[in-house]
Formats: sequence, C-alpha cells, structure tokens
Amino acid sequence: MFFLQTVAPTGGVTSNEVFDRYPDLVSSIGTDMGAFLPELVLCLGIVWVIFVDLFSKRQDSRRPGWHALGVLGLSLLTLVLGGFPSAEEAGSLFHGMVVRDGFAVFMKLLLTIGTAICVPMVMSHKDLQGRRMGEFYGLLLGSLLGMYMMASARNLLMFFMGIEFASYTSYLLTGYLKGDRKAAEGGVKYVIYGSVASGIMVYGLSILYGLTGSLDVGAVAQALIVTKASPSLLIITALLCFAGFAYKISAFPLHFWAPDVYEGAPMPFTAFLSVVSKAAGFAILIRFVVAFGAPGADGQALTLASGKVLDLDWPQILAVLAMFTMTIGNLAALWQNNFKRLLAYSSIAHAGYLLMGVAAVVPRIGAEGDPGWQPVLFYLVVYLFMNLGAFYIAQIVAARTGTEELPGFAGLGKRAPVLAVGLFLFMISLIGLPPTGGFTGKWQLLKAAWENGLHTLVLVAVTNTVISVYYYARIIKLMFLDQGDGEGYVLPVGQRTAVVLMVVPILWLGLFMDSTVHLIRSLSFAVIG
Amino acid sequence: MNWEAVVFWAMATLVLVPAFAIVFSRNIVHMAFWLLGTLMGVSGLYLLLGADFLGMTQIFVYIGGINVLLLFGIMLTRSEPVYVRRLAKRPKLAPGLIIGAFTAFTLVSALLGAGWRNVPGEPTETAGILGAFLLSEYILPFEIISVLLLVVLIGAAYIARRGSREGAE
Amino acid sequence: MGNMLTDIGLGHYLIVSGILFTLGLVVVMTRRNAIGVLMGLEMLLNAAGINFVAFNRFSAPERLDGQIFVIFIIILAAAEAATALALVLNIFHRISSIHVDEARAMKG
Repeated sequence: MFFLQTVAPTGGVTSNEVFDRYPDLVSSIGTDMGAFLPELVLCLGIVWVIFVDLFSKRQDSRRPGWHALGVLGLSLLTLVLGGFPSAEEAGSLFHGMVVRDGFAVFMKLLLTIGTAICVPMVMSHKDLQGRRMGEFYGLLLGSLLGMYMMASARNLLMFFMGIEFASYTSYLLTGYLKGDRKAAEGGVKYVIYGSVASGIMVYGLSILYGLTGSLDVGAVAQALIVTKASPSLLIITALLCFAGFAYKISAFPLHFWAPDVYEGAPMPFTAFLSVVSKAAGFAILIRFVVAFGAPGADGQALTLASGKVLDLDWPQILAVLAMFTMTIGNLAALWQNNFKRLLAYSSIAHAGYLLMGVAAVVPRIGAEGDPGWQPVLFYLVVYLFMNLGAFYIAQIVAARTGTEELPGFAGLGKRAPVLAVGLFLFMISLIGLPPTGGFTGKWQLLKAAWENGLHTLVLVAVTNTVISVYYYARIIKLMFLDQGDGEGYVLPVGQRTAVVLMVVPILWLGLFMDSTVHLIRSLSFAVIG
Repeated sequence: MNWEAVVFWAMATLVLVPAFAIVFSRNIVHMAFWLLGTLMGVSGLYLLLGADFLGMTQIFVYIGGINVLLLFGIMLTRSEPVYVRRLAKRPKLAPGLIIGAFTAFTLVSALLGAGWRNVPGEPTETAGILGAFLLSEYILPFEIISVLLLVVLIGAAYIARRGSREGAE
Repeated sequence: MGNMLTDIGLGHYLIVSGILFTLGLVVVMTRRNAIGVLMGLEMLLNAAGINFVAFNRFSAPERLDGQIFVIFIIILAAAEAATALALVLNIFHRISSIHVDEARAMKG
C-alpha cells in the first residue's frame, strides 16, 4: 500500500544512543543559559510580581506595575547588552530549539518596548484600580515570554508551544475584568475559537512531521525537498499550519474574533493584543514562510510552497488572503461608533497590509541582497508607536468623558489641544500620509509588493487606503470641527510627556527612516538548512 | 486474523463510533461520556503502536483529568449553558456534515496518496528514553511548559474564583 | 499489496485520524454550547496525536520526537481545558443571562 521513500537522515541522537551520550547533551545547557538571560529575567519576574502583590500590606494596585516595569527594563537591558548577533555569531541554542540571531533580538526588543508602553496604561486604567493586579502582570509577562519563544523558535514543538503560551495568557487577560459582561463574553469567544485554530494547526504540524520524520525546522525544510509528497497534501498542510498564524495576526478567514475581543478586553490589553501580539504573530509567520515558503528550484524540488490551489501559487494565496483581510477590515470599520471596535477593524486592515509584505517575502527567499522581510519589520515598528499612541490617548479621553464611543471625542481640539494634535498625527500615520512613519512604512510595503509582481494586490491596497481615509478623518473632524460638551482640562505633565514620547518616533520614522531601514537590513537571520 | 489486526479494528471502532455519536448527540452529558470512549480508543491505539508511556498518560490526564473537568463544567453550567454562536435552537447538522464529508474525503485521499517513508522497527520500552530526551534535548520546552502551567493555572484560579469582593458588582 | 484487513500499516492509522479530525471539525462547526465546542477541540488534538505516534512508529522510529510532541499536546490540552472552563465559569457566575449569542451587549 505504501512505497518505501528515502528521506534525508533526521540528525540528532537516536533513541539507542541517548543514554550513552546523555552527559554530552546536558553539558551544553549551562553555556546556552548565558545567551538566554532575557528569558530567565522574565521567568523570575513572573514569580516576583505575583509575590510582591501577595505580600503587599494594603491593596495598592500600582505597586506590582512598577515591579513589572522594572522586570521589563532589566530584560531590555540584557537584550541590549547582548547586542545583535552578526551572521557568524547567529546560531541555535538548546539543541536547536531556539535560534539566536539579529531578527529574533530585534523582535524581542520591539515586543518588550510595546509591553513596557502598555504597563503604565494598565496602571492608570480606572477599571483596573483597586483589584489584585499581581496576576495581571504575571500573565502579561508570561505572554511576553511566550512571544519571545515565537520570535526565536526553530523547532515545530517550540512553534506550537510559543503560540500556545502567548495565547492562553491572552485569553485569561481578556476576561480579567471579572464583573464586566463584555469582557467575559470576549474571553469565552477568544478561548474557544483560538483553541480550535491551534488544534487545526497542530494537525498540520503532525503531517509535516510525518513527511519528514523530524521536528527540527532545518531538517524538515531539507527533507521536504527530497520527499515526493503530492502537491495537494503539501498545500493542505500549509493551509492547516497557516490557521494558527492567521488567528494570531487576525487575518482572513480567522479575523472574526477580533472586534468582540478587542471591545471586551480592558483598553490597555486591547492595545497589547492589537500591537504586541500581532507583531509576534508576524515574527513566527516570517520564520515559517522563510523556512518552508521557498518555491522549489527548477521544478524538481518540492517545498510546502509547491502546492497549488485553483492555479494559485503560495505568494498568490497569501496575496488573496491579504486582499480579503484589508478589505473586510476597512469596510467594516466604516460603520463603527465605538473607538475600540473601530481600531479593531483598523488593525485587521493593517494585518492585511503587513500580510502583503509577507507575500512579497516569498520570491526573495534565498536571494542575495536585502531580506524581503525588511518592510514588514519597519512597518511593525511604526505600527507599534502609532497604534499604542492612539489607544493611549483614547484611554485618557475615555477616562475623562466616561465613554469609549466616538462622540466622546467631539470638540477635543478645544478641550485638550495636546491630545487632539497627538491623535491627529496618529490618525494621519494610520492613513499613511506624510510626514509620518505610516507613509514611509506603507510606501515600502507597496514598493516591495509591486517589485515582486503583485500588481493587483498593490491596487487593492491603495484603494483600501483611500477608503480608510473616511473613518480616520471622521475622528479628526469630530475633534476639531464639532462642538463637544464638557470642560477643557489641563493634562498632567506625565501624560503630556508620554504623548510627546510616542509622537516623536512616528515623525522621526517619517522624516529620517534611513537609519532604521539600515539597521533592519543588517540584521542576521539564521536561515535554516 | 492476527492479534494486532483484531486489536486495531476494535480500537478503531472504539474511537470512531463514539466520535460519530458525539456529532449526532443532542445531550451534552451524553457527549461527554461518548468522548470517554474516543479517548480510551486513542489510548488503545497508542499502546498498539508501542507507545506504552503515552497510552497510560492519555488515560491518566485525558480521561482522569480533562474529561472529568469537562463534566464538572457541564454540571456547573447545567441550568443555563454558555453559548458561543448565534444559531437556531437546534444545531443544523446537514451543512456541517456535507462540508465534513468533503473535508474527510480530501484529507484522507491526500494522506493516502502521499508516499510515506516506511521503516520497519520494533517497538521498545519508551518511558526511560522519553525521560532522557526530555531532560537533554527537550529541556527547554520542558522548562517553559512548567512556567506556562504555573502562570496559566494561577490566572485560571483568579478568573474562576467566585464571590471575591472586587468582582462582585 | 497485502490484505487490507489483516496487514495493519500506517495508512490504517491515518484513515482513523483523518476521520476523527473531520468529525472534530464538524462538532466545532455545529455546536453552540461552549463546552461542546471544547469536546470537538479534544477530538482535533487526539487526531493529531494519533498521527504523531503513528508516524513516529512507521516513518521515523530512530527517535521518539513524535511521542514527545504528544506529551506536550496532552499537557497543553489540560492547561487549555482549565483556561476555557475558568472563562466559561466566569461568564456563568457573573452574568445572570448568559446566552452570549442572544445578548445584545456586543453587536456583530
């Protein structure tokens, strides 16, 4: 019934040798730990913030927040001190479980900064006051640890574990506001559909294992080339695996959870989900696409990308998904009146733009010169600051007006000019207009897609940008042209500084993007193989 | 018929008959008990494949833990089940079954059409080897999952705790 | 080509897992009850488990990678069930009327 097939040897120790070679296998663990400091800091930090909260005499909900910030700062420090590994230094740790390369370090920095911006938002959020917050910060740091794994995974088991770690903590954080009905509903929807998506993904991973006899991504990628699997099975496997990633980045057709979850979750955590969680999803998707997405050379070798559905090849499938994602997000955003829901659909649309960048990665895999994923990473940096900034201002406004609906923003230009100007710039950047980072970022994504032959996709993306002007401009009009009731207020210095601190990177990335682009281009990427 | 074939067909029946029953059952408690059969069958398949440690773990964790947890969940929410989807009162099976039959056909034919590597090998005792692998090559996921369990269970305990003063409103 | 009934090979296990996976998907698609959907999820995970162990036995018996993956699937499934039930109980305890779909708190 089945034919004998030759597959490249899987490498590693066999079952018969594992006892004899056990001392060698264990001996490298200690040295690997040295390169693993940021993760260790997080592990200890999780326990630390929970204990701090447990032994606080009074219910001070801000205190664990300061400690969480300290943990994040320490983790950031160890990352920076470790530096970006060059192409020669890049390698794998813990017997190939995770990689240490420039890409992973850059993504970890991005994720840590994003989380660190969310923590002060949590500390000042009014619904989260007077609760036990140790668990909240423990879960938040745990989520970040899972995302570190996602950014650096090199083994199918670590792919799965990283996604699951980041997801479970996110489910719990969504439902953290226990008295709140929307939070409870959002939490249940998120956990149910999220588990199903990862269940589908793990089935795909099992087929991948069967095709190649290994879990190590490098060995899998090599073995796939020799395996004579049918194209239909390859494409089924790729789509099953994609389900898990699509859910994390809220891409079509697994985007439907986002609006309810974003609306139900506490605002700072919505910001975290829409930015940090999405960035981690894209990091692991890029790893997956670079490892398995290369089209087979000269039509002989087979990879996951060799399969076709209805005559579409893998970049085209990604392009179609990107088109649907951005169009659905933008069209639905037109009708929203709740700010969080509007930003939820807007973030689905942005997942579409980013997916366009990933589709453009595929033809460049293995090519000399810049890595194809450079525009995606640049846009993720811009997106981090503009979206977190928009959420931050929305939270301040919501605390003042007591509503998260759009009319709460009416007349903001008169009441709080600093907030209004800040939000104006973030909206300009979300549309993608100069002189902001949104413009330079989107320009690079469009350029990459155009140069790699995805012309239809570029046209759809430009049309979508025009559509999106309507709902972003609606907020701008509300702020500056409409009359709002409510009195003007003076912002505390801390909030004013925070707004300025987030505006500066947006303008800087818009005006002087070269240094960042250069940095991203110079990052090493441990190509598997 | 050799004994392996007999055990395989028995276990395959034990997996699939309850699985079909779960699809058609209207009673959530019955579903949970049918699931018990499926999980037992999967455990039997593991044992048949020579995965002795996994087979026992499946019984302890899945049947002793997860299935019982699901039954508790059913009991606690029996008066008013928690629904996740907007649908008619009775689940509409027909479209699901048609899509399912199509998926099953595509999936199984693709799985059987592939040329799998077939290496003859005899099953051995696995517990010791698994332990050695987990503590050497797989030490990282092993440690990470312990952190995961700690964090997730603390979080779950916080969320599920009833009647704490802060969430009482 | 041996006797389909008596020569049990990889294909037999793949058929069982493929059917189990599809049935799990059908349960997920047709159930409204959150706990019912969770049962469908357990079927999906078990189908993947059968695949891993069967591939480990027939295609890659040199190492026990597949079995190790299944150990992690089982642990993660336990954590997942605990998470999901905590959230389901949360919605049940806090809210008097708990029909998520009939509630108008969030519009589609």
